[in-house]
Amino acid sequence: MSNPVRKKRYWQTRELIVIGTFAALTKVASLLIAIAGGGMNPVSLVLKNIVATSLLIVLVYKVRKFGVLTLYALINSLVSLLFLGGNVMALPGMLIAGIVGDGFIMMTGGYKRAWALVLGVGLFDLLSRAISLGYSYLTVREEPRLLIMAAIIVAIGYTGCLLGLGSGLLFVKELRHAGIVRE
Amino acid sequence: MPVLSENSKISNDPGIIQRLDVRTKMAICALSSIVALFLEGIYPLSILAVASMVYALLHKRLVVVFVSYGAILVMGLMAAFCVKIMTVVMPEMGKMEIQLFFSPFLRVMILVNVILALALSSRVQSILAALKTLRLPLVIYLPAAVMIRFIPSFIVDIKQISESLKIRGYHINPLTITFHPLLTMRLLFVPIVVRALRSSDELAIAAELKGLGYSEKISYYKTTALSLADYCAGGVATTLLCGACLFEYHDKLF
Amino acid sequence: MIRFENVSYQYPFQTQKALDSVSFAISEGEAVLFTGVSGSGKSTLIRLINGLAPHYYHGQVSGQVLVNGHDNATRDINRIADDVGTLFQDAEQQFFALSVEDELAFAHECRGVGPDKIKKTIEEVVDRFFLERVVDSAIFDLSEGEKQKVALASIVSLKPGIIILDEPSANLDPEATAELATTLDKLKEQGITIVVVDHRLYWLSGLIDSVFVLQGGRIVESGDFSILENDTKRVNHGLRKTQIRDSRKDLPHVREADTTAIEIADLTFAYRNKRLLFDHAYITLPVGEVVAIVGENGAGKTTFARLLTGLTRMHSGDIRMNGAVLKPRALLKKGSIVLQNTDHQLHMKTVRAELEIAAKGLPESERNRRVREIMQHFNLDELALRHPQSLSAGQKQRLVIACGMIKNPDVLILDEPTSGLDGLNMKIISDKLKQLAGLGVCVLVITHDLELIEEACGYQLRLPLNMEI
Repeated sequence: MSNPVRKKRYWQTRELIVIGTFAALTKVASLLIAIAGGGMNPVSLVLKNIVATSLLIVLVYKVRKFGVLTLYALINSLVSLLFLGGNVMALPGMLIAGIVGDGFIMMTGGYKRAWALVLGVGLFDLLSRAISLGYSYLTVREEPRLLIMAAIIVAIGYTGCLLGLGSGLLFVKELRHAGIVRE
Repeated sequence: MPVLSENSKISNDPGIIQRLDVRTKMAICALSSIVALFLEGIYPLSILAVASMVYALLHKRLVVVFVSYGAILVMGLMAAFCVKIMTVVMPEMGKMEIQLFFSPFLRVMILVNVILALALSSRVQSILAALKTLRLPLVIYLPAAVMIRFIPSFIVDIKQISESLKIRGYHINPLTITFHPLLTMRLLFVPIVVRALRSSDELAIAAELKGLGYSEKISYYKTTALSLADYCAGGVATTLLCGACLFEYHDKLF
Repeated sequence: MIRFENVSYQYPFQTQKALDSVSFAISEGEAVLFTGVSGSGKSTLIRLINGLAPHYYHGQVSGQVLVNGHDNATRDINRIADDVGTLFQDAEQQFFALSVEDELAFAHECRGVGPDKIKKTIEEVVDRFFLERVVDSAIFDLSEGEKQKVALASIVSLKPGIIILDEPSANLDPEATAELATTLDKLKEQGITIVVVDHRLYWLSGLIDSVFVLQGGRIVESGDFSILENDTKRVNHGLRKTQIRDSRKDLPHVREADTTAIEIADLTFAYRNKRLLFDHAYITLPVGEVVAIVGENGAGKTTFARLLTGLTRMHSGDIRMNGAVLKPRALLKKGSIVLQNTDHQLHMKTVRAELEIAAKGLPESERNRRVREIMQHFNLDELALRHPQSLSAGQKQRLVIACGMIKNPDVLILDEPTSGLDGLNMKIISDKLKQLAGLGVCVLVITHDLELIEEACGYQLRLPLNMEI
């Protein structure tokens, strides 16, 4: 007797694979742009964030499910920690940002609404940077003015994220036109 | 970073750090980062900074370690320069006191050393084994394994795309990135996003066809148990961290 | 073992059926070939066997697909996977791990099999597929043939009764293809049912029991392998040849050519800490004929192409074109390479924009004229506004060659331009290459495709240079 179709798990294998693929691509792309653009080049700083956020938008379009940002943040932080020189203290911050981002999308209309996805990703980017700055503040609390430069860099980077929200949507539109993204 | 390359080499004679289990290195990294954050005194932070430096240097990849130190020094100097300019332009912000930089500097040193020791002793091929030792659930293990699997592939892909652009007379460099950011992004990233989407689709299909992701439990082939070296390293790290805390808080405690 | 009863299938968002009223039966231990031009429904058919259609791709199915006595409609993909294993064209794309042993273990780990049992299974397949030498290697260090063997071993280790192979020979050289045929023959002897979908046919004559030719989603021919030997039918169905002469044995060497367009003297090159690939070599390349660059993996074929176009710098040597010595920068302007992966070379929103960006160095009026000309020459007019990434494999290949040609290079190098193409598209590409060579371009083709060599190439450059047949 044939086996009936089984109850589906919350996370489908294909979704987990898409999350892993995009986490890898975001990491590699950001790193290579930073290297190609030359260290502190503000244009490459913005570009790096445009690309990372655009990719994140494509990812949430592909995997429209509560927890996608959280899982992405977790995987990214874990692998970065293991061999890319990521900061262990960034992990809780990224997780919180992911949970809040996912929660925000759920509360503002869910994963089917394009603007909810865009705002959710924007919030995730903002929070992850804010938490990371907060951690940096604790590290340099004796001389908080040392944070000025970091704050400027983060602000420039976040400008890239905001631009990336728009370019991400354009990317999705183009991928639909090419028949690569169907949802 | 050299560890990104699948061809990155680690000395054939593994050093002490390479012999340590990834769980030990992660625990040392996490504990040191937390303790360094709480400590404020110059002496306990200095003890940990020196100890962590020895820990990182035991890795035997001195060039990478010193290049990282150099980069941090440059960043630190730039941040200090920013502060200096602020105090000159806005005197109401107060004076720049060099001793206030010591504790932040030492904290950053500790953090960088423990991160370097963890990151530089891991090869991309052995990261999967490291993940296995963490005994993660499938929902984390599978995407993490996929991420690791694709990092070297995407580096090769981006290199190939950049070369195909070079053949067409378009060079990716700081100048083109600065003056033609949007065109650069399109030229470089349309092919790679398409590639990522196709690759993830193909891998997902391969996974479905191998029946992955349906089992209630996941097993781990070839995982390692903690060795005597791990217990020793853990013991030394804990002693040092406790010692540093004791040094800082002994007045309050006793 | 497999039975299709009046099966039709339509993909979501599509207006036409991909498969229309198909019926056939395959017995246990039989080896079957499905062939036909691109878009004829071969891939859809195997997706219905392994359950991807409709369980993964969704869409509408009518009729009944029975695999090992079970209706696929009532089983999930993972249950069907117990009976059916599938190997795709690009083996590397199926790998989860970075080392061979990890890869062989991965599927079993994810299925929750105990470590001892996994160890035993790995030992068995390593033995069965002769993988001892590579079991500790990194996936990226393997040749295409080895990668495919590892992927096949990984599938066989899950013990399916049916193995589907989708374009298995597309990325393989003739030697690895012959080895694959032997491996499949052994699996067939062990009672495993083999289903092959492939455009290259010559390697299958000794393996295949039944052939089905598809066209427009229907089976239009079926019988034993001999039905493919009728040339008229073969050409009508856009298929490749069933018998190919290995012309690498008698194709004249470039040094025998009467005309010389490019002369490379004193060429020396080695990668860091590796043996010399070229040691004070002297090579001449002719015009008017397509030249096949052949040789085993690692012989330096791609390196030669990179040296010739200035992408990699020679340790020593001069490259002369029509008598004048060229510097690396000039080489990059005079030469063009069309890489194997077409997706990596398509960046823009439309076919026209792709050609325009490829011609960016030319003045605007000249550029517009060239774009018009080249679109006409490569039959891309009707596709001008299509997104390049939405084109078929054959159309993409034509577009990237057109992009390579738009700046009128003196040297055009193509890396495996016909892998995975059907007979019709292979003929189109081969005719274009011959035309270009006739126009005075030095056309070099790095290829394992014996049919392309036989069709298009007039000379060969065999690497390494001291290795003659």
